[in-house]
Amino acid sequence: MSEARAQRSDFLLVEGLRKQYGGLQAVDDCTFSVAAASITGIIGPNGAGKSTVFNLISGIEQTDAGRIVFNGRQIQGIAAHRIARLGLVRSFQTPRELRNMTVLDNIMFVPARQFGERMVSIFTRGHRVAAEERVISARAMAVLEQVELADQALTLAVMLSGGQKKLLELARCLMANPRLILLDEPTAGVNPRLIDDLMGVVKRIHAQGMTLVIIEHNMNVVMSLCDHVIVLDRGRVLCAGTPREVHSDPRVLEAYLGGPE
Amino acid sequence: MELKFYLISALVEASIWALPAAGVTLIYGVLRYPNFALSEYMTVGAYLALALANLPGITIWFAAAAAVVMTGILAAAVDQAFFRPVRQAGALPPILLSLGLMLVLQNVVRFVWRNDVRELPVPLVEPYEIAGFVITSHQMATIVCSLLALFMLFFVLSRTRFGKAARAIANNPNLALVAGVEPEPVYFGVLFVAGALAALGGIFLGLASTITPLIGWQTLIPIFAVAILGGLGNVLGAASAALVLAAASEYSLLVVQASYKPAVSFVVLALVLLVRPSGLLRSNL
Amino acid sequence: MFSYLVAIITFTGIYAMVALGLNIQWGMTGLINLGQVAFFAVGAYTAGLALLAGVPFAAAVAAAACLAGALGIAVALLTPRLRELYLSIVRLGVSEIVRIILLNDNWIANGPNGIGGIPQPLFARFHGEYGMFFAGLTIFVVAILLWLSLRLARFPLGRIFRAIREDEVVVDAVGKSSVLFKVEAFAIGAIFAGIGGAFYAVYLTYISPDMFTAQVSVYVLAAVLISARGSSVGTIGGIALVAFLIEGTRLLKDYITFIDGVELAAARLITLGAALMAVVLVRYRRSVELRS
Repeated sequence: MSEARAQRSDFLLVEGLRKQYGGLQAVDDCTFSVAAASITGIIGPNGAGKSTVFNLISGIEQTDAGRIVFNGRQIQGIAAHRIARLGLVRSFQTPRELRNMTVLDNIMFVPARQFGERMVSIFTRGHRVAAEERVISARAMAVLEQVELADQALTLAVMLSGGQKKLLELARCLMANPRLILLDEPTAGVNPRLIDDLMGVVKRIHAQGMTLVIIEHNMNVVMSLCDHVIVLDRGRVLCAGTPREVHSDPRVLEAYLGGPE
Repeated sequence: MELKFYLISALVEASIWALPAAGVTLIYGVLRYPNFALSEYMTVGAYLALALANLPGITIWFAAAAAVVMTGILAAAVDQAFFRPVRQAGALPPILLSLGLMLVLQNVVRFVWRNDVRELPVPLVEPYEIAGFVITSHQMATIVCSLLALFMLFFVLSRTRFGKAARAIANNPNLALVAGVEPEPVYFGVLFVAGALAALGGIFLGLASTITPLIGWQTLIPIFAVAILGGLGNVLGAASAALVLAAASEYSLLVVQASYKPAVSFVVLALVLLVRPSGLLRSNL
Repeated sequence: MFSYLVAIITFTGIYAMVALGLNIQWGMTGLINLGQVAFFAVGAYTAGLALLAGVPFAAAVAAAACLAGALGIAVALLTPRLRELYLSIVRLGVSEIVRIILLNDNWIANGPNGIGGIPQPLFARFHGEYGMFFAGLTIFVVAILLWLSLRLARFPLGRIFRAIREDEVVVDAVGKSSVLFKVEAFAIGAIFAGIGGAFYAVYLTYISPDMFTAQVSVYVLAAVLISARGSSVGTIGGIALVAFLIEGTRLLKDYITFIDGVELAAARLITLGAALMAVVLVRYRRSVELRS
């Protein structure tokens, strides 16, 4: 029983993570854990290593040292696409939309194990592929409804506004049927009006039991959305706690205003 | 005894390869794309030298020097005319342009001078012996001139304003722009130098063997192998890699038949890249 | 004159197979490949040798496709770690190495003399009209490959290829191995080229290494470049244009008497090179202007 609870509070566990670029120690003995079905915020001044931590967790970059455990399984050193298949997906700070493809295509290519992705399918009569496509496009439209992009389904991704591209990032994550989503600055560059919509979407997803880890600079968002906050500074965890606790911690203010250079 | 023979031919081959390879690596470092047409400037340089030297009253030295300068100007002019309009479009357009240019240059040469095998009008020389090595004055000239050219290149890159600007752009183009460096004059200079170096290499190649429209084409793979092995963008690396690959290429004659020689440098490169995907030395100018 | 036209159509068809293969690799999936001729050569030699050994035509083509595909898989697998620009150089190098090996290998490939006397399928049946028959067969196969290309583009697999072209990091980020699909795309393109090679060998009945220089790779590159982004039909149009430039201007030889064969051949290639440069400038200048 306690083991299950341990797993629940350590749904994602990061321990002693290190990453160095040339002379710069971007991530330095970083340790934190994320509970299942929580929304955890990661904040910190620029250059604190937040996106790097996401890159390390999602497998896009390899750690120099440290452990990453997801749902009880060690994932450091595993290829990025395998990690995604385990249910850990991420969005990118600068949206990486598939520019010359429609919004719908941007989402429809996501589901795993499509029969139509296999070479042999080209030689079949196509009924099975067509049926699968219908199912996938229905699901894709549902996801697009969730992020309020359904009316842009046939628009080329490159034509979307910055905020819409962020929504597309989120939609792509959702389509992958994940267990945990890493959101990298989901509101950066987004129209303030759209931010409320975005937050609504995130709350709805969370209400359905999703675990979310969000890098954010927007303190309103962090305060209203997250039940747990981790503060990173210069590659290590400065402190962690509820938004209120972190907000009133003097070390956090100092980190943001910048200590002696 | 044989080993010493191969050493001389390896040095000559390294001298020939190092020059256009330095040009390739220079262009890659500053303009960030592999210029496949550079080997054809070797051909152009050789033929220009040939044509000039056959004119009455022109010595081979003058012909060579003139050919080198002319080819350099041609390379820079072509770059300004055709490559400049697509500077901002990434690396692919100049790669494709250089492929088309390769066809054009080689076939213009072929159109004017046809496919016949030719030789530079230099007197045949007897080899002489120095310290146990057998060498001709042509080979000596090639090695010495090539070294001189490389030294001059180093000097230009490290001491002159142009060289510093070129290195600034190679290291960080945005920063260089902000610092007030004007890129186009630098690019002009880089292409001039690369074209000139290639022409010089082509002339030495013509000196060492014969001149046909294919001499540049046949050297394409080796000079790229040299450039990659030395780290694209690294001129010192190119010089060193030229030695390594030329030596490997020549000494391979001990093991495989001569017609496989062009493949040897590439195979060596492939083996190295499998182990170290970024070449032997770090890439910087 | 008519038989010459038939010949051009056949050549165009054969090059079209190779170009369609490159289109799948480059046009659809965004994989730069400057060495497509390697698979063309492997296909030609495989089929030629198989046919000389008495293997029936269809099996020889299949063998050509398999070997070309295997080489494609090998090249794609060996190079995923290299940076994109190195990749382009390496693939060019590979194709040249293939040619050099073929040039030197006297045991199987008969070195610089090449292999000749390749039997043509159903020759006895058609011999007078063989040119027409073979042209028809070539067009038939090109049509099949075109149909497969178009199908591929519409199917989910084609969607993944396009996704890789747009951003392979995203493909990995959703749990699909971009490496696996890139190898697949590359292999399919190699197979197409191999089939083209088989037809080339049969059509000419004689092949030698100097027919497979890297310049052939440039020709098909030009064709794919002329077409719009990954359009299979556009590629066919492109290769028709290239084939016309290379082969068709031979026709002019009868009318252009002031320059001779060597010069005319050179002039043709100058035109092709210039045309390639022109296409690049037109295509990419627009993208530069759009960006600013």
